[in-house]
Amino acid sequence: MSYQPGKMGLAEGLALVFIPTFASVFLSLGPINLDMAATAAWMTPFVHFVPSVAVLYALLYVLKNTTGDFYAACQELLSTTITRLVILYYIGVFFLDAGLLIRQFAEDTLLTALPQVDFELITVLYVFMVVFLIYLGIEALARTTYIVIPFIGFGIILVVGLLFPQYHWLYLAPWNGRGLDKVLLAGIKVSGVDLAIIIPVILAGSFQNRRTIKGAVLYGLGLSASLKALTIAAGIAAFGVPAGQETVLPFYQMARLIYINRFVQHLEALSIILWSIVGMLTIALEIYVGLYLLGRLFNLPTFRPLIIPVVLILAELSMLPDDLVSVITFYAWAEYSIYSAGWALIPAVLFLAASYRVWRRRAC
Amino acid sequence: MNIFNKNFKALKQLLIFKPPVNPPPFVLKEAEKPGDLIASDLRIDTAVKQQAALLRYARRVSNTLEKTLKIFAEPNQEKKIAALKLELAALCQQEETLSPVIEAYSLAQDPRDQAVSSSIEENILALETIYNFPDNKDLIIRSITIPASPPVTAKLAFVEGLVDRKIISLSVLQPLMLMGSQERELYQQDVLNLLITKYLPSNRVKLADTLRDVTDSLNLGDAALFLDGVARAIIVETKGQEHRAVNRPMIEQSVRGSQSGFTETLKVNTGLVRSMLRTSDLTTEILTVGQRSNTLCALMYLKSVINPDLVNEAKRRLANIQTDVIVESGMLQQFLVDSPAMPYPQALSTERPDRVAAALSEGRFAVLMDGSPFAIVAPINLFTLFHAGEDFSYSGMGASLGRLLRLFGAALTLILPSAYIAITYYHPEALPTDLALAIAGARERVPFPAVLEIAMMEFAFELLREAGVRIPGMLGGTIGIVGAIILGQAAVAASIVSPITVMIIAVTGLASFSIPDFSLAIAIRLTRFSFEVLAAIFGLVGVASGLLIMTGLLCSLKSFGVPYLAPIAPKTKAGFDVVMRGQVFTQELRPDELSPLDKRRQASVSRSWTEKEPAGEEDES
Repeated sequence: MSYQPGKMGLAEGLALVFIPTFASVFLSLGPINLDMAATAAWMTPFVHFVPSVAVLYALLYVLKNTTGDFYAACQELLSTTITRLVILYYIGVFFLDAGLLIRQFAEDTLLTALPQVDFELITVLYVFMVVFLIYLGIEALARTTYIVIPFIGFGIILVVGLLFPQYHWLYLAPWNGRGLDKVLLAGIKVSGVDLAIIIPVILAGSFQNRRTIKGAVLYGLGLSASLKALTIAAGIAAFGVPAGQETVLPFYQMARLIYINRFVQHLEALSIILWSIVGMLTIALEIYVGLYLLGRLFNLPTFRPLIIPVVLILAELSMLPDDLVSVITFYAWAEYSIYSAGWALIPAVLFLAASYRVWRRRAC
Repeated sequence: MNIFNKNFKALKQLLIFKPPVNPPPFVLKEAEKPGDLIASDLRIDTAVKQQAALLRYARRVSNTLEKTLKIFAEPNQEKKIAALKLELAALCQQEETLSPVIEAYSLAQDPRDQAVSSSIEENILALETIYNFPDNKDLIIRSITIPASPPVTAKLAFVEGLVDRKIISLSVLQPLMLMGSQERELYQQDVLNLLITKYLPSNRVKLADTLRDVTDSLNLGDAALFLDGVARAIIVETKGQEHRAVNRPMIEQSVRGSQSGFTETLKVNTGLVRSMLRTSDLTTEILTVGQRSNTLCALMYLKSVINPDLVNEAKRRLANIQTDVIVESGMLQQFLVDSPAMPYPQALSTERPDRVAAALSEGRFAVLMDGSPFAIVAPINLFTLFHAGEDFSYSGMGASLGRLLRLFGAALTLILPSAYIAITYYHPEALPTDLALAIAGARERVPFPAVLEIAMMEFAFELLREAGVRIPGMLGGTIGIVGAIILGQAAVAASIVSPITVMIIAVTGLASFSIPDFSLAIAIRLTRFSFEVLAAIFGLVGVASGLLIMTGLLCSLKSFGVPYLAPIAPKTKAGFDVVMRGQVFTQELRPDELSPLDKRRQASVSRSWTEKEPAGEEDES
């Protein structure tokens, strides 16, 4: 058999990495990228792809020289107390990200798709969907995501393709930019969006082997970076940098800008379907990972009873900020700072600890 | 005074109303269960039974003694004395079974669990008890005397309606009663073996030791022969109930391909499958389901192909169904599948032997049930349900076009009404302006919201569909079409619904008929209704949520342990037979998700003639 029952393969892993790293395309981080990298903002996904791959190899090295998954590796290398702190940090990050995404996706749905519907009702829909998806389990969640990916890709390419008549290629000209050094810095700065590369490592026990994890992260992140770069480039070509910086939801605006003829125009309805699906899957996945870590941390036999309370609490907490702008600002700040520690710092520490261990073994 | 009394009585009779004397009306009360009998009643009942058994034994002893006296008074005693010995041995055996402890135990237990007695009388009485004789007239007991020296007294029992009378006459009664010689000395030898090997020309004859074996066989249409003095019964195969002839499939008709469908008779159905897979590798295991119905099931598979774990699991599930009666394979399917609460079918139900044969050759198994013209094929995936029996009869491109059309039809029937509701309510900007204006114009005179329009039309369509199925014969289809036209036109004329709604429901209904599997069509209909509700509340976001829920549920479904969306999720080596279908000669491997023992079904170059020299002379042109 070409699949192992009860174990996730390359396709599932790819989906688990792709969806959370790609979700930001539908949100408002694009204008912030444009602000930093101007016409070359489309390069930023590729810029942070490179260090993300380095992080992946570091984590694979850690897994190779330890037994079990990420949690077990931390315990072996950093002691139980530090492991608990590290896991608490990751739980916090994943729950924080999920909460911020709930608020943003719910607000964006209200603004663009369902202006007549109560905000609470939209939030309830997101909460229900997230709870339902988590209840299905990681295997079904990953496979659902995997099935959805081609439709997302097709939707993105369709929007980018149909927007062709609106492109002004000069908007992409390098002399309108801020310089390559700024692009590199911006790319590194926003690399926290690739935090999801750690998900297959956290769930390593559910995957077939390390090679599967490596392939999943490389393909998932590669696909995500390529589609993100394509979308950002199309956005820049369509709007230009100054107008692009003013758009709150670039992908929605791009779909809205489509006009081929009177029969093919205003495809924002398509973008609504795409982003709501991506949003629900991403939030569900991040809460699942947080709950999984919570279960490991407290050695719980199952985390199922926690699903509804945790999702409800996160949804309630996400409603605390006064307005969407403060949420977006905080989200951008968190990606540059809090997420980056989980993306680079902790894997680096683990890598050093594993290297030291190997060195000591060899010395002995 | 007397006159006064008489007149008073007459007046009273005239004036006072007397209600008619009717029997009390029937009121259904709680049935008295056997367990409700008080212990003393039970003891008396058992004691009566014991006494009756002892009396019968005493009568038999008395008869034997009389017979003994007669034999000793006659000449040529040797042969008769030998038979008498056997009879006395049988009496001794019966006496053992009549010891108070054994009798008390056996009379208290289910009569079917008793061993076959050496006394015919005891056996027949037990059978009569089991079959509720004489209320039940189906059990026929025929007394015969087999001519031999000495003659053998026997009783033949069978259930009318399940046996073939000709077989009973020609294969059982005639050889035993007429064709034998008067000089046969059956009791001198092993009477059972002698009868089986020399005098019973039936296809299948076996011995039964308990009355349960006997009743099981009788219920299947066999006949049981009890011999006096022998504590075993001979079971002769005499099955021959009336059944429908092999006919064209009623539901899964095809333009090309086999034109024979299953019938209600198990043996005919297994024979049809075997006629398409003439290999000793094809295994047919017979099992029984339903504790009261004792329905026969055949589990069919190709032993060298199928994964043995799959067969064991199928047998485990079939053997552990605890229910009274299973009358149809659809009912059995619900007892077998992993998630029966889900409306999506997790096993293929087909009435075509060619589909079953193709599925078996892929490494699946089939369950056929006596009394049902449908076979259950498992494990399957969602895409199997979009395949038709004749797909492999056409070229790859033709079959792929058909499959794509079916999938498109399913997608259309699933999404079209909900998309209409969502777009009309929340996203009119998604439509071209002219179309949006046309829809608005058509809906101008309609006093109801779009969702109510759709709901009314859906309800009307479902009523027509149900009526079309229930009305017998040709009339059903005609009424469906006429009803749809009249209802649609009348509804539009009365401004209850807009023409666009009628068109959407008509297209949706038409598309739903392109789904080959009826159970899948029902599941998709149910999903569509929930999508419509979601679309009315949340617009396209609701539709997207519905699609996500459906995909998630389908991803978590399994058919006998095989993922329902394989080979897509999980991704497996699919071959070229999922949605698109490759050429027949390129289908080299069996479906990977079934993990068959033999993965390859044909050589990598199956058209090996292309690599060989052509017959005749070379074309010089």
